Amino acid sequence: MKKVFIEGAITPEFIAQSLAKHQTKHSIGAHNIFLGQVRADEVEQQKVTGIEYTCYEEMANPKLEAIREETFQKYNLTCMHIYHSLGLVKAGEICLFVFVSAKRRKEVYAATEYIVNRVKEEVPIFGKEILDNETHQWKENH
Amino acid sequence: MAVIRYFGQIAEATGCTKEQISLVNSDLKELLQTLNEQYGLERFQKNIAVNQVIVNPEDAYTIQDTDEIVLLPPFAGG
Repeated sequence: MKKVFIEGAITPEFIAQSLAKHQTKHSIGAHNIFLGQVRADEVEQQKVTGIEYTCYEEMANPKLEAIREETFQKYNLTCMHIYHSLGLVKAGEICLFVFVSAKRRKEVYAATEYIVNRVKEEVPIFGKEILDNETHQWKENH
Repeated sequence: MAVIRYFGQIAEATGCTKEQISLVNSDLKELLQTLNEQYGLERFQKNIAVNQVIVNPEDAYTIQDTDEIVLLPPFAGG
């Protein structure tokens, strides 16, 4: 099973290294990347300073594996990577990194959106939004 | 002993993430009703997973001794 969950933020260095690893794969003609960044939303005059992510891993991992397999069946991709943070990710940092590659560009746009939507809707990940007055609220995807 | 697990805001309300309960021939719907009353969980929107699969809590289901029942708040990935 591919490792998806990473402790803490996904760093720009990690993303760069991931891209560099694909330079030996010469059948690829197009990459597409989606990066989810933690937003400093304002909630009743308080600002979100970060999100603390937890997940139900025993269900999340098989679900991510199914999303992976179904995406490969639906789109003609060369490779696909999904990474999501666990633990605290501060505002401005990256919490989701979806990276798809194919021979030509058309497939990668649709596949990226398909993966991101399914991860948000179907994977049991929870987000505690930490506010700057040290209270918190719970994030919900809509 | 069946295991019950809680996540996110639901775990916050129950004050624990996991508990083991002896549930001989208990119905899932009845268990959820009991937990709602015990911890005031009625107010939360939630999904119920039995052994990692989301189930319809209205369906008749007799809890097995080895089951893992999980109360999941709304998903918030990304």
